[in-house]
This record gives sequence, C-alpha cells and structure tokens, in this order.
Amino acid sequence: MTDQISTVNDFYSLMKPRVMSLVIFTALVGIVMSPAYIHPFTAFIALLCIATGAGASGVLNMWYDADIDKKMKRTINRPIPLGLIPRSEAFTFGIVMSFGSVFVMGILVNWYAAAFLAITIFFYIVIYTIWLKRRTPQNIVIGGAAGAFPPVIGWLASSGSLSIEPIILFLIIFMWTPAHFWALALDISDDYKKVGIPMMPNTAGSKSTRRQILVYAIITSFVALSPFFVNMASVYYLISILLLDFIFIFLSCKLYYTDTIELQKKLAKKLFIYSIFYLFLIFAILLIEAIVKSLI
Amino acid sequence: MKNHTNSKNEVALKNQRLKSIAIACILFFLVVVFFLTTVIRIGGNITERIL
Repeated sequence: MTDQISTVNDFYSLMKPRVMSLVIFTALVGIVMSPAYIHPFTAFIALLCIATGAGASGVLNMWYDADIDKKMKRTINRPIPLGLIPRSEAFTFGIVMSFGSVFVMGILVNWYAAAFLAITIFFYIVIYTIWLKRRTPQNIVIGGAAGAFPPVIGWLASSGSLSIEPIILFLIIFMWTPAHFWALALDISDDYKKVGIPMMPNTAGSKSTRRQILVYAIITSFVALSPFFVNMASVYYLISILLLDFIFIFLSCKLYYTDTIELQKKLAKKLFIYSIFYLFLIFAILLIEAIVKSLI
Repeated sequence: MKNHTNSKNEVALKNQRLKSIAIACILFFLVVVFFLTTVIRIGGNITERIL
C-alpha cells in the first residue's frame, strides 16, 4: 500500500533536485566551452541524459543509505525514511534511469559521453556510497570525482574527445569538494557520529578537519586560477576569481582559528553556503565568457 | 471510519493515476526525442532524395 501513497513529487525529490541543478549547470559549461559544434537539440538531449544519470545516482544513493537516513536529522524527511516510497521501488527506479540515461546518451549523442556517464554513476554508487562512505574519512575526497565528471561528460558530448580544458574543470570541482563537504560535516558532525559514518570531524577531530579545509581551499583557489593560464578565460575572470578566492581562504582561515564550538558550527555553515556560491560563480563566469567569445 | 478509508483509497487511486500519466508523458517524450534526433542526424533533405 505504501507505494500507492507516493506521489510524482516524491519520486522527483528522490532524485536530489538541488544536486542535479549544479550537475546540469557544470555540464552545460562543459558543452558550451567545447570548441566543437553541437546541434542545440543534441546538446539539450545530452543535458537531459546527464541530469537523469545524476538523478539516478541520487535515487540509488538514497536506496542504499535508507538505514542511516532515517536516523539523521538532515535526511529523515527523505521519501524512503518517511515510508512514502518502498526501498525496492526506489532501487528499480534508479536502475531503470541509470541504464536509460546511458543508452539514450549513447544512441542519440555519442558513446564516449555515455561511457563517462556510466563510469560516473558507477563511481558514485559503488565506489563512494557502497564502498568508501562507511569505511574511510577520505570518502568524500575520492568520491568527489563523481561530482566532478559532469563538465567532462558535457565536453565529450559536444566534441567526442578530451583535452586539458575539461580536465581543469574536473580538477576545480574535485579539489573544491572536500572543503565544501567537510564544512557541512563540521556543522552536523553529531548526526554523522550517531550513525557511525567516519566523517573527518569524527575521526580526525575538529582542529585537523579545519586545517584540511584550509589546505583544500588554498589548493582549490590555485586550481581555479588555472583557466586563465591555459587561455580558457580572460583577465576579467582572473580578477573575479582572485576576489572569490580571497573570500574563500579568508572564511577557511577564520574557521581554522576559531576556538568555540558554537562559533565553529556557525562559520562552517557560512563556509558551506559560500562554497556553493563560489563554485557557481566560477562556472558562471566561464560560461558567460564562452558565450561572449562565440558571439564575437 | 469507513469514510476515512474511502478517502484514503481515493487519494491512493489519484496518486496512482498521476504516476501513470507521468510515465506515459515520459514515454511519449522519448518517442518525440528519438524522432527529432533522427531527423536532425539524417537532415531535412531526406524527404527530397531520389527514390
């Protein structure tokens, strides 16, 4: 009977729409920045497949993590813990969408992009969710690769080949993920502790996590500058990113040197929100520059 | 109690119907997408070819 209570909206929220929106956006940047021509309709299909693949990953992640989701404050309102969608149904939904997105991408766009989409889904579910998440505090460092693939898939969908540019886009997201996610983990470390997930704040302690956040923020800041040095972006990009980097490092520094736990949580939340804004702006500037370049 | 069960069934039926409509829309959308992509790949001139 539970499956009849579920609505279309529940299935939609099972796909983690907020994560999906960032994936679509970064993939779009990959498509637009690629020098090869792609028919707008084919580009639309590629984005749709990437979005569906990302949604499928979200569904399968919720299917596997249903046992811990129902114990965590942050995830207790997801459709499976609420009993709106049975686990088996979520699994079927996720598998169908995974295979569907890969095959449609292969048939209608190209098989290189489809192969990368398949690798991304596999990486997120098997490597990150099933293998690493419950075993090592480095889970998000390695698992972050899954979230960094979309611009590469977008680039491949458009050009069918790889070069330094999509690798830089990949590296920006890959290096950004630990600082972003550990800021969240600091804020809700009690939640993760309760369910036994070895997030960095629970295994290495708050001080070590804050130091590592700062290190990753500095690395990300340097990587984010690299598009300018490989002629992917203009001097306007460089100036904007220098400003964004300064705020990113400043917030990370402030978090590192803060002693009171309450203030740390407050700052961690602030850094988490800023990191989303930071990544969005990097890709937005790259997107705008690519569009302007194509118009001139 | 009976009324409550009836309204619950009605909600369940309505949800089921909406999900069926959503699946139908997705399938129809896929058909359109495959058709349009075929046209784009082959090109509009396919209708003017010599048989």
